[in-house]
Amino acid sequence: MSYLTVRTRDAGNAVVVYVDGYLNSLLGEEVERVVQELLNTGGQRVLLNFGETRLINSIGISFIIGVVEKILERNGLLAFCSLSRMNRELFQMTGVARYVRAFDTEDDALAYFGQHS
Amino acid sequence: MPLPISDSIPERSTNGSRLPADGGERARFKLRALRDFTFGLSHARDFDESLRLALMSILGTFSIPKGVLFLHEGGEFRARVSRGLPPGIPPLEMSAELLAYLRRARQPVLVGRRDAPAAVRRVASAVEEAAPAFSPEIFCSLGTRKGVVGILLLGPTLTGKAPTVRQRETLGVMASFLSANISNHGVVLEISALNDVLQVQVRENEKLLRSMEEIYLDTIRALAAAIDAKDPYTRGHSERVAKISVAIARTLGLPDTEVQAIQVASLLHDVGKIATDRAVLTKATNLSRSEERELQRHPRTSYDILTEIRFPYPEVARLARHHHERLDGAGYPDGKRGEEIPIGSRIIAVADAFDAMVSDRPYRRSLPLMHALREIRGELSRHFDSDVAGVFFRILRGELNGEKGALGLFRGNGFDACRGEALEFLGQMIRELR
Repeated sequence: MSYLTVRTRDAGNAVVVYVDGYLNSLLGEEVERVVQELLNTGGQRVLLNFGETRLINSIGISFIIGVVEKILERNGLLAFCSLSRMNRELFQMTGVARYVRAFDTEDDALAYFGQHS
Repeated sequence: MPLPISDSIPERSTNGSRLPADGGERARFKLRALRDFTFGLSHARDFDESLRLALMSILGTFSIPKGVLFLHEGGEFRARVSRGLPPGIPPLEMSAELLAYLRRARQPVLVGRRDAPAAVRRVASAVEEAAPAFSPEIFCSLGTRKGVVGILLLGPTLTGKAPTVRQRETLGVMASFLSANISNHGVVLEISALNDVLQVQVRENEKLLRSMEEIYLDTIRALAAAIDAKDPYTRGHSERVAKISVAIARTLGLPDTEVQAIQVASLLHDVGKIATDRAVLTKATNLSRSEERELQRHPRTSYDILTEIRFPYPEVARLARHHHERLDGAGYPDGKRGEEIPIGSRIIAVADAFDAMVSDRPYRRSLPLMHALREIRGELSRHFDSDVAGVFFRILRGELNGEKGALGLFRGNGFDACRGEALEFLGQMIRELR
């Protein structure tokens, strides 16, 4: 069991997962676990909020790719929000941005989930 | 592969030209990834964790969702860590052709290329057959100059674009780091296997040593019994003094080697009586001046005999020499005072005096327990060390109470008759000496 806990919030149209801190193997593992639990309990719509994410390393990218695959395999809906410029470029460079829509704010993202309900 | 959600593709990312033209961010990411990768290898909690972090880091660096790492173990290649694959990937069949290829291959190869070696394709199709959701695209031989250590198989990238030559070079560098880590782990395992063998030997040696110590103590006991045999009234005396002395020494918290020295010295403290005239030892009436002098020579004779023996414990001869000294300096043979007398000798003095009093002697019957206790109390700080006597009183109380851990030191001494009175006396003494 990791000592990290990942904050989540049920916003109605989607569950917001706050990726706070340094997205490395510790945080990545916990984010993946939280998303897997959501999927196991029938959830399909996830918003990853990167507003408080300081850095994402290569292992963190690997976990995000895992989350993307898991949600898309179930025909779920995934979006990112509040990305810093650096993390936005990172997702573009690694190709993750091709599969996930990114929004400037959490509200914008939730509105997008609202349109797809 | 996930299907892109058509309406969720952000426009800017479909246009590669929006990325920094000089690839500066990409280079920085690659450098950071290499750093994370080596950090994962060196800082992992254990070997499996280091492999898992290395695989995750490689997958993240090249945006690859799936991969598996096989290690060369027990004559086959076993899947040790994987990502995105179901568990239970069977081991890869070893062939001379595969090994020959792995030995010369240094760079990752693309499985789908027409010039991919047959051995590589066979491995890829065997794995794909075992895990249909995984189609290996990149084959990476892992090895050092010492030999082949494993195989890394990676699936297609997230975007489906084959890695560039540059990316394959970077992957090659990571693979060589990973190979060195795996190879080092092999050395660590060899060392730890050797260590296991060594530990078994050490344990066997310890056992041997313990049995030798027992044989050694048995020899000492036999010698002590021979001394006691010279004087029928002191039969078993040395053995009892040794038991009491060891109990006191342990309770005082003395180090093991010192306790063992005290044990041997107390068994042999009277060895000098070998040279004492038997008539003096067994005389039923008061001794004359010269007879007393002869008797009092025995600690010095004990010392002379014992000093010739190379005991594995320190001070045995000296402890025996001073067991008749008194704290006030009026003892023999050297008239030493207080702390000049070794602690072991002060312990043996209390045990020896007590046992002598409660045993039959040629010139009297054994004294009652209470008499012996009062005698010791009367001689505290003059003859006997108060701390040692205090500990002795506590041990005696434990024995009389039959406490847990009691040694049965005084069983059958007929102490039961005055048990109540003795316990009351001991309780009071222990309080006073605290």
